[in-house]
Amino acid sequence: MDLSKRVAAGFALVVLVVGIFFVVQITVEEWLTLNPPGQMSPVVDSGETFHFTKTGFNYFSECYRPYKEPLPIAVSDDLKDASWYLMFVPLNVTPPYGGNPKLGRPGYVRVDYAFQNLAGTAAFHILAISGSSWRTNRIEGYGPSAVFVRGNATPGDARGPTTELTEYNDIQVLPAGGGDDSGDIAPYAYYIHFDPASGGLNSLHLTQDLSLVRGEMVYTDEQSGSFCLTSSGGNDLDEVLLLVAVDEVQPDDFALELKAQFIATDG
Amino acid sequence: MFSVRTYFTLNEIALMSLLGGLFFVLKTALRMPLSIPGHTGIFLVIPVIIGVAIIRKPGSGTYIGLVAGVLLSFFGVSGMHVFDVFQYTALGMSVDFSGYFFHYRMESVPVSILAGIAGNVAKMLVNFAVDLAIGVPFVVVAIGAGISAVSHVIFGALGGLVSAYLVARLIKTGVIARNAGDAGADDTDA
Repeated sequence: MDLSKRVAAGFALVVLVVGIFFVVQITVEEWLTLNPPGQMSPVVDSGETFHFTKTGFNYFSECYRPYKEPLPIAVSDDLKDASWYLMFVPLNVTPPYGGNPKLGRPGYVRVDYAFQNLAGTAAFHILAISGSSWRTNRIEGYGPSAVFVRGNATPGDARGPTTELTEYNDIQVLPAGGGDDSGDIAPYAYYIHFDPASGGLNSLHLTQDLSLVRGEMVYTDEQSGSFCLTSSGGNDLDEVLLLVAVDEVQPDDFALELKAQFIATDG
Repeated sequence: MFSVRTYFTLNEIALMSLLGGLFFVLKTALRMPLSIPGHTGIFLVIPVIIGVAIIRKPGSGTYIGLVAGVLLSFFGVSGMHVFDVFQYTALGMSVDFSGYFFHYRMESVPVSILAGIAGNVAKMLVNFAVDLAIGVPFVVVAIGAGISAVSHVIFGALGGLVSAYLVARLIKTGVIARNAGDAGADDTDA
């Protein structure tokens, strides 16, 4: 075949390829006309399930959680002076698109929890990073939100290995179950930095009722249930950490199962 | 047994690596605020086509694309990160195949245009495949496939057009040696 015929064949192939892609595009457009996105089921990610025992609580704190200034974990009269054992659970560890909670798309993170033999009270808070700026939920002032679950098991008598949080900003925190035997936590840790010059308390919320834009304070005795992590503004979030805190040493048969699932919404 | 060292001369390997580096530099330096799919093809196909035109051996375009893909992947220039390797290797392979199919007549405008189109469209196809592989719904990928194909063809063709001019000039100035009507690959003067 001489060159001119090859060139002609090449251009014909280009036209054919472009034509095929147009047929695909038109077919999909027609399909979308027949199946408008508004009538489709919302996209639900596969979710991820975590299992923890008492050793998951790898931090100890006198009352406070990370923020640019010490921020209380609880404000009710019976809990405001309590000390807490903390764990940080990263909720967006699955690959992009297929997976789990990343509030980069409009939507919320549904968290299903199930405690076994919970002693004292467990508190749930959210921490998230957007760019280089960390945010968390407020529990005082306008729009407080958090989830507190009261258990009735007998407290344990020996706590697992914990690190005391003495600083609450510019700190590295190791997620529950993270790290290795070397003791170097840096490769596995999250560096939490709240900018002292900006806010960070107003856009993240916890709620069981999605109609409450700014979330709600939930106090419950239910040992299993669900709540949602929501964002009411600001930039997309890159990383989401769930802070779980308990105010008692947990018994040896304590167990916590968390299932986190990103559920997309229309916007 | 096949060996890159015996298949390509040291000069050729050096040239291909430099062109792969040029590809990376172009992609990094020329950031045009055009939200048109495939617009980078207007300059990305040029180093590959010139490399294939000079080396005139199957595999030269693949090598250039691979070097560029590894560099882009390593430096995380685009959002596809490690998948850049596949995209740009595919681009290089397509230009390679075009060169072989058209007897390395890259100074010919239609040939160079077709090579540019082939490279840019191959990049688009791999991009689609990666999107599907990482879980992007088919509908999202397919909804703009036709328009995207057209823009990739146009920008690839423009890149090929520029390449044809450059290759012709390089031949005219003697940088690339050519025998009249030559279809072989043994007169490289790179």
